[in-house]
Amino acid sequence: MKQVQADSQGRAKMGPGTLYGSMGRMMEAGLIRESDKRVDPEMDDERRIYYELTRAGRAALEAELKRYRGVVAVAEGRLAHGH
Amino acid sequence: MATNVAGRRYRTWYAMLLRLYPRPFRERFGEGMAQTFHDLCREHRDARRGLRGLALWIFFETSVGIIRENTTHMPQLVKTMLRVALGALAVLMVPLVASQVVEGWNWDAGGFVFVYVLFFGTGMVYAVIARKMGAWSYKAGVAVALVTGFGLGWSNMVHVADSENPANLVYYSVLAVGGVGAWLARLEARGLARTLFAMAATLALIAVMLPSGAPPYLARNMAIGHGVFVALFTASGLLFRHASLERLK
Repeated sequence: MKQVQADSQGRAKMGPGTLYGSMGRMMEAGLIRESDKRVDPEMDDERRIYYELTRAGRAALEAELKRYRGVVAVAEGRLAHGH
Repeated sequence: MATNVAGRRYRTWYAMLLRLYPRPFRERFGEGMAQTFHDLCREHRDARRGLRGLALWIFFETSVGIIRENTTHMPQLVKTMLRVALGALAVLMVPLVASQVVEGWNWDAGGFVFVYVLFFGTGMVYAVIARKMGAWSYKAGVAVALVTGFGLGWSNMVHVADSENPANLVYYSVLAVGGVGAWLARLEARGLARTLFAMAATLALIAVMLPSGAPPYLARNMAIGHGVFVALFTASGLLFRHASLERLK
């Protein structure tokens, strides 16, 4: 939630309802799974659960990024031609 | 100290709110959500910021999530019932508001409940029948037939109550023709087209045969009313005929 707020320079604010709802849907779709890796042992809390992208999740993310890049390319092309 | 007490109270309320999530969701994420809320409260308290605004926002945001999760896991029929129930409630607002401004309109609570049940029943019949076919003309035919049937039944009920003339009950035969016809047609478009034409013909016959005994100015209004209902039943029949011809293509 903090990361979303920081990445969007405070414009987007996410609460637990949205975060855990999205995680539930992504888990059902097989895009993420629970991970036993510990990112930062200093800050670790045994109750903390980590999640990681699955292969399908990474593929979906790459496909979505490609789509965004395509949309941006079209928009930039239009702007460059003054349409 | 006061913030601690408030924080504990908000955490208790939040734990109660989380119980409204579907059980599988709650079992998977409930503890994590409660912990997240606890951490957010602690961070706010450490930054010496008030908890009320944070709690209100998170309670609202989580409530939206609860509605979303519950409706996502609902069977389609329950979702349809919920939509129809809300739609019927919206339509009920019309007589509810009208009864406040129109003089002499004084239904009791039972009257509103009865009308709500009628709206809900009509809406459910539409939802269940319209799901049978995707053609717009079929859906439109169902909608026109139900609204017209509802209007005829309603106006006749009011008229019988006002005039206390049991002869007017003969109008219900039009609805009976519709019910029997729909059952015989198994809700197929072709059969429903014939049923709606039969309903229009029955109503036209009643309008011609039944002596109204009304004064001329009222008789003219009644004739126009009958004409509108006959036209609407016919239009619905034509829509079903269109749907049946589309299926043959």
